[in-house]
Amino acid sequence: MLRNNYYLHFATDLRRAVFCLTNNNEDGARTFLLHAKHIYDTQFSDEERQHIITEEFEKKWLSLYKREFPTNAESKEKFTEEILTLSSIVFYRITARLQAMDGPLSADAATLTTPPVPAKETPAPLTAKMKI
Amino acid sequence: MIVILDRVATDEDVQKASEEYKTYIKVTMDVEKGIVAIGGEYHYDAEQELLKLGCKQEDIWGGGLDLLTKKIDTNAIINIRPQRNYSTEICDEYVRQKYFTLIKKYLPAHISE
Repeated sequence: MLRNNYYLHFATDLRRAVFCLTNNNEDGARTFLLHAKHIYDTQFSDEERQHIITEEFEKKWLSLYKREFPTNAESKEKFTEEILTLSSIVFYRITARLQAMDGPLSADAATLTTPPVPAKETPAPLTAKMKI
Repeated sequence: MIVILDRVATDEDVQKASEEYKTYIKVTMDVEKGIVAIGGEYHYDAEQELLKLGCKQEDIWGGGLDLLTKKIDTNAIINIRPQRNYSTEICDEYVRQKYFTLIKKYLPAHISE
């Protein structure tokens, strides 16, 4: 069982918000940002905030989650990038911290927010059993 | 500030590049020409600088380097390409390898193995 896994949930919520924004699903993005804010408010300790998010990114996050989504395409892209940057930072810092505490991450945790690189392989031919 | 690298980055280069985010730098590069831009608030800004240097947009990819953990990431909005890369993550294995090779070449003191 991972300790501090709410950070991974936080980072994942931000990634989901980014995915929603890049697919023009603003309602979904708002939902994930609000959920991330809920985790931030209820789970993060002051010590963890200082070491993982740091004061600088905390300010950025606190201004980000409540900002109106920009309507202009360029501003929207920049806004989305700011969320993505925060997500990447939190994810890599918490994985580094977990690795330091627990040793290498389990495969499940490592792939929680990092999408797998799609393998270039051809589908296996159907076996006699699989054929209808 | 955006710094274009054609040699190993000095501490001064990294300091300039981390003006926007004190503990994190954005890394944008032309993986074919081997030109690396570090810093800037958005990958888009560095992309514009690389385009001015004659880089092709299709060869420009983005990511970042966390100066605290020394971890490299390959996430950027500019990485989303219709028909080629649907994610913010660089999914093409060839491009990923090039990306990691270049970042290790130009920022060897700032990354962990």
